[in-house]
Amino acid sequence: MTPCTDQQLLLEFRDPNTKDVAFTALVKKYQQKIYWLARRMVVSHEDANDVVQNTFVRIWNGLGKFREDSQLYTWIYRIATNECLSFLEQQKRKSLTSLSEQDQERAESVKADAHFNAQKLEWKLELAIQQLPERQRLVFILRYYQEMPYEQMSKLLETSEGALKASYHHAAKKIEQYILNH
Amino acid sequence: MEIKEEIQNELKRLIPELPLQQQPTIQVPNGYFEQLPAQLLVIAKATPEKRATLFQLQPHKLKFFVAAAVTIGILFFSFYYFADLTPGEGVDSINQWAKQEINGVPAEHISVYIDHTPAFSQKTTAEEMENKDVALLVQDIRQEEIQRLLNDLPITEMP
Repeated sequence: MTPCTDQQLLLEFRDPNTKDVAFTALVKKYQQKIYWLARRMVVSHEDANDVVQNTFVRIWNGLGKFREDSQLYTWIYRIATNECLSFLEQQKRKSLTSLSEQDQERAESVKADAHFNAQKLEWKLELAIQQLPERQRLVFILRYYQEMPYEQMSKLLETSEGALKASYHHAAKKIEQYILNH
Repeated sequence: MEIKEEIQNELKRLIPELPLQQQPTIQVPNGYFEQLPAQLLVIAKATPEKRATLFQLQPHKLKFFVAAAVTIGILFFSFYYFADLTPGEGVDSINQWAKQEINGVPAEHISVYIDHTPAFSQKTTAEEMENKDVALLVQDIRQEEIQRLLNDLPITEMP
């Protein structure tokens, strides 16, 4: 029987006999959340897949030593957000184009999707998100798509709830402006 | 459900025209999430664990460390070479050399040298300097004027 709670998964993972099963269960539990976070941060499926792989490899290597100072959920999300931000940082370093051109490139990647429809509100939102600065984009994605409470986000990003609310409000206003103008 | 409502209400205030996302717009390749757990298990087992280090020396950073080390090395050896700070040499060796040179000179030669060198033969005491200064000050003043000035001054006893 597959364990369900994070605590059970952790116990199973620490037992060499059930480590693989626990890891598979953990991936099944978190893969979609991590993938969609990565996909909206880095846009392309291939890049998101790289971020997901790196995240779960780090989880595999670090879970045995996890000290339970925070919840497993927060720890996993912290690894995933760090991987997303590191990936974007590496892209910036490798790229010869300016930051605004990189925003434009991400928007073009969104438009390249086979189901893209410029008239639909949800696609306008996807484009608007790519115009946001990285941290604001991350806060908006965690709140709007992942439905994360500010309290949890505060622990994850080690930022005050007030600052996160302000960041989300700024992001929302920029998105509203984008939607109204396009 | 509570958090969903909270986010929905927040959105209504911030962007009234934007509903809470229900279905994902972006598509994922077919069967991606079904295959991912097995793939990740294989990848995780095959990837060696990175050992924690104080700092990682990446190849592109290595050249900066090499350049800094070479510069520091050149500066250090230049200073060492020009300052001549080898133990037993430097200032001590100069004193030793001077003593040997002086010991080799006869006493009469030293005596003649002192007699004919102005720096040794002239007296340059502070008193003599003051007398010279006073002489220079009064050389352009006539004798009568000095006498008149002395007559006009009140006579006071020296302490």
